Amino acid sequence: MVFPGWTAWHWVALAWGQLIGAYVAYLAYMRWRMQNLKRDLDIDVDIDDIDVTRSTNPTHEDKHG
Amino acid sequence: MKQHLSPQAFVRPRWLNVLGLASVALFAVALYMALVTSPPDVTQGQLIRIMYAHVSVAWICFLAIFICAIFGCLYLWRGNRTFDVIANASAELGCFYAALTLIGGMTYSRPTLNTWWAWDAKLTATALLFVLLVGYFIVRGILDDPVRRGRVSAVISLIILADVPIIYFASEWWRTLHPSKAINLDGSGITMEASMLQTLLFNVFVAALIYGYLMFERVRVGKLELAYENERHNYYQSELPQAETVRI
Repeated sequence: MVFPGWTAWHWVALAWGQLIGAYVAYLAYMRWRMQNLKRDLDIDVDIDDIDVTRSTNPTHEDKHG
Repeated sequence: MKQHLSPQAFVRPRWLNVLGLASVALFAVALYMALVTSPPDVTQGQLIRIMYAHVSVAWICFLAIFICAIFGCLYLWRGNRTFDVIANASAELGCFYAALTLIGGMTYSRPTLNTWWAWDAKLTATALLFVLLVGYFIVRGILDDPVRRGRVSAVISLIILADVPIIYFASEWWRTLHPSKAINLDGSGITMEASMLQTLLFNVFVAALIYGYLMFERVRVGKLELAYENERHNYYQSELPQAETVRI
């Protein structure tokens, strides 16, 4: 037997635990993606008057001097 | 580009925080109902409490795929890239819920049916759903042209949607290890005790609320991805003539 001595409540805890864990992990993953994208786009969402239409990527000169 | 990049689009709306907190609070209530107030089952005993998590997640998986197909069709019809962003977000959540359905189902199956898995119609069709959803993202990753990507994704979402009724009716059409439905939408009745049904429906409602919250969060990420893609496109467009003049 793979799980000797496991009661019904162990399985219940495992099922609900993996659901809660998945929700938390997915939210953390989305937060990480959001932060990466905001960093790449140089967006600070705390400032309301941001100009997100400007290009924030490095120019050719920035990269190669 | 400006259509998707209004500054307000990146400011986190306050109502989204309220929705998130409400989802957490109601999830706690749903968990309490599933683990405490719901009675044990005659045959399954306390293991019935897994059913509330498993069934609600499976139904929301279907909902996510349905929303994905709807917005895929809207994209095919109107060509608005926001529809593609929403369809993509719902497909990702559909994939997330399909994985949870499979893993949760195995966790439910092991103590009740004494096996993790069986290649019967219902389980195989659900595994196929997950594989198709993974394929959806592989295709999206391959196609660079956003218009072609959106169109192909929309067609794939319709193919994925076709698998949903097969999963739903599999236990009626074929002999499967999976138990038959306790709630029949064809009017043949509900074979579930009232308090259990109440707990199940509340869990489904809360799972739908969490799906809604995750969708809003994922669409915000999707809009940023769209902005990033546009920025990258504009950058390479502006760099291309300079690159052509370089002689090594």
